[in-house]
Amino acid sequence: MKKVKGYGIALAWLTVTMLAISGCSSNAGSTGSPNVEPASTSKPSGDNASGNPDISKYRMLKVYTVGNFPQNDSKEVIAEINKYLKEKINAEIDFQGLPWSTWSEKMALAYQSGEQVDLTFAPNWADFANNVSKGAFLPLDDLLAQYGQGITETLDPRFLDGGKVDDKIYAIPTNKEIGESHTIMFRKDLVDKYGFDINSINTLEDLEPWLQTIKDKEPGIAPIWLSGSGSDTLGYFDKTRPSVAENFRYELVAGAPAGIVLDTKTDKMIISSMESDMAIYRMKLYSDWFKKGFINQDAATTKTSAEDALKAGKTWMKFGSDKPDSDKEDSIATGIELVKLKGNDPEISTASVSNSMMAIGRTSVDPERTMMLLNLLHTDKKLINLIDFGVENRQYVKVEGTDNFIKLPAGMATRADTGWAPGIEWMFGNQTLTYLWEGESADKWEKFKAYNEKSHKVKSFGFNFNTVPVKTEVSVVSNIIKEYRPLLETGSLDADKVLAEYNEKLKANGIENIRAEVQKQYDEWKAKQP
Amino acid sequence: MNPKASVKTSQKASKLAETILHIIFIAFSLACILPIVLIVAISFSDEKLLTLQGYKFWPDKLDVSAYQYLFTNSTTLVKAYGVSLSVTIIGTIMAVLLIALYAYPIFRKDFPFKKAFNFYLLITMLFSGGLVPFYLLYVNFLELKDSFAALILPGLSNAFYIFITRTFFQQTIPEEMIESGKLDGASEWRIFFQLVLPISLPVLATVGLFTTLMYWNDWFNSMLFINDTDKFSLQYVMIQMIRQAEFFKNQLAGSGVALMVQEAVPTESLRMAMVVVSIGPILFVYPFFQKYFTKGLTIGAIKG
Repeated sequence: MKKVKGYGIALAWLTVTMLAISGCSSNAGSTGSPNVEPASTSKPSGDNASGNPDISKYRMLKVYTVGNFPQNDSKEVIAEINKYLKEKINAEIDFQGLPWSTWSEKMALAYQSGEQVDLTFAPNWADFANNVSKGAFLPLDDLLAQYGQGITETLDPRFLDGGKVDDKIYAIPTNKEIGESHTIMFRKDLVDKYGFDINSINTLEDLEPWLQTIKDKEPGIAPIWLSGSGSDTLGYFDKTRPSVAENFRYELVAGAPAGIVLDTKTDKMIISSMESDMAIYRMKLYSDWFKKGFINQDAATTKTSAEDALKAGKTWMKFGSDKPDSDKEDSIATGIELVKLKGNDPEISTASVSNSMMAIGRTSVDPERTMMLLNLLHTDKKLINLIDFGVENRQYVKVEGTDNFIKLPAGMATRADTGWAPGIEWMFGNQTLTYLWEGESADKWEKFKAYNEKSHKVKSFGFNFNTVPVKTEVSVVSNIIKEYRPLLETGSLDADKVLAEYNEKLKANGIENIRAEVQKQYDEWKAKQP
Repeated sequence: MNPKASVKTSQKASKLAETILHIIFIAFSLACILPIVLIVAISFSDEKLLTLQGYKFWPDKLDVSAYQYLFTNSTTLVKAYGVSLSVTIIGTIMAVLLIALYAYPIFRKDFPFKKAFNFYLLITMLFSGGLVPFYLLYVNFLELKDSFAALILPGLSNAFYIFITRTFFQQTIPEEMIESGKLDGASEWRIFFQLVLPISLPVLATVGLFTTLMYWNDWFNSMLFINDTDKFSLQYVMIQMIRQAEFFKNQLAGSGVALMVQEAVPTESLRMAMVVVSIGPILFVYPFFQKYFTKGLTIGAIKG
């Protein structure tokens, strides 16, 4: 019996301690937003005034990013990077490459649990504003001024707005294309076969004779391939006659549901499916095309993306970005030679300057060193190419007689075979320092420069809608939009009927409240602009 | 109406009822089996033909490239198999033992802290700390990141199963048996292991099956705690690949970023091949546990 009693006491004690532990940790965790004083001045450790930072102490920096991970050859590539970094800034990186599928959950936990996060990929579309308000990232202005000269010299200053929250910089955007514009690409062999002239296409309507030809003469190929509300909708290429004539007067509003757009002529928020003639015109055009058989008949339901359909020979087109050489990039990626239409002028929006940024975590062991690393990423050719493409003669070989062109080593068919193809070129540092694949134009980065210079800011640049006051309406309306978008954007059903039903639903679920709130915030924001 | 006829009609009726029941059950079985057959069929299909013709129950030509790719290209997958198997086996054995060890004292009427321990269990069923505290406990307090313990510990005990086990003890284990054990001079441990457990096999098998499935299907703990690719469990490797496609469709759609990401989404046939590979072992677990469900629930240890 004595024994039993002993166990009982032990167990009881265990229970008590466990309760205590769980109580404590839930206290620590449930506060959610740690009350971090925004560090007005982050004190550089051991800076000796002359601007020569002290790097005598070895550091291991944790770098988080997302991509096609895990990669087979990670260990070797990272070892190579670390060798180089050690001699440069006496630091090494613990590289946490997370797969797309679980990255957002893992990061949320890492920020909340106070784990060491030195450098982390923090684009605007991954809860950036929210993470800043919770104090996950350090403000970078001082660090940038001190250790990031290379960044300020090479980066287009318009980029820096992307990482700003309340006039403080919290993230440094990647140096890449600053604006966005989209296009449609077609199979070059068919374009040549029928003697189509790429330069003759200025609007969607101009495409009709092409589509008719393909429909008549190439059975089994869909002239236009759409799939539900995937990332390939005609909305990307928004040139119709009315919109060109009106000079694209409607803008999407960052943070607001897709149904609400800004009318730049009147500065009023518009519900696109009710009040924007152009949006309604476009939906009717799709519906007309669908009836004529230009669009694949299972567009609203199919799960096959335009890209997969292209590879399988079911269509001859795909959507893509219109940044310089994008057609060459996509030809390399799909293995099919493509030519692209002329897109509209690139637009700089709140999203386009902030869709790829790097931030320094609040829990960084050494923010100064991390900023130096970031600075290297923006200025050091060797480092950035190591990260993007892996190790020379292992993951790639230089093309004979060139310094800047690379190709796959003999016997490898795709980059995936090389053991390092995370697809992160657009996330790190300065893209214009990266090597070019064989077949890309030698002046690609000059073209980029020109493209960036040509880009113009949209009217609502810098405005971000805060959904909190109308949270419930936004979530309901977003679901309605999700449900109807595939129908409206593929033209599968009669546009008039679907539009009426859709607008009805939007009205019934408080779209007007959302509009009023967006308008209010926009007016307030506008009043503050210089 | 003569009695004979009525018998006939009733027989007829039962025949009819039987037929209807048969049809219903056949339909139900088909609804369970066909999707799996289709998955197997897709996994043996050629990707190009899938895009062109859609799914078929009988692929035009057998294509094993998905499986080839799966086993040659991913050492992770083979390792993940090992991880999943060992975690499942170790976890299940430990969990069943722990659950039985907790359930037994709170079934014993002469155990003084019975009420308190019952109550403590109930509390854990009603309230939970939430994800972040759970994560903090494992990562910061126990420091179990990247360890097998992080995969095994979270599933070791389950209040609900403990109650099931306790109830089973109450219904099948007579007080007298324990009394007689004591009279014969057996220690508490011996009573538990040699008298109680052997006649509780049905409930142990039930709990064992549940925990086996739980461990085998668990990917969430891997997602939280494991960064080392050598310690990925099979289900985590799979969910990563399968969710990849969804992520691109939902998260990135329309953000402009979607066009920058070079998707490495596995093909349809590859995804289905992974499903086939992952349900394989667990299918063989069912028949193993089956025999315990059918017998033993009525076994008594005391001669009436």
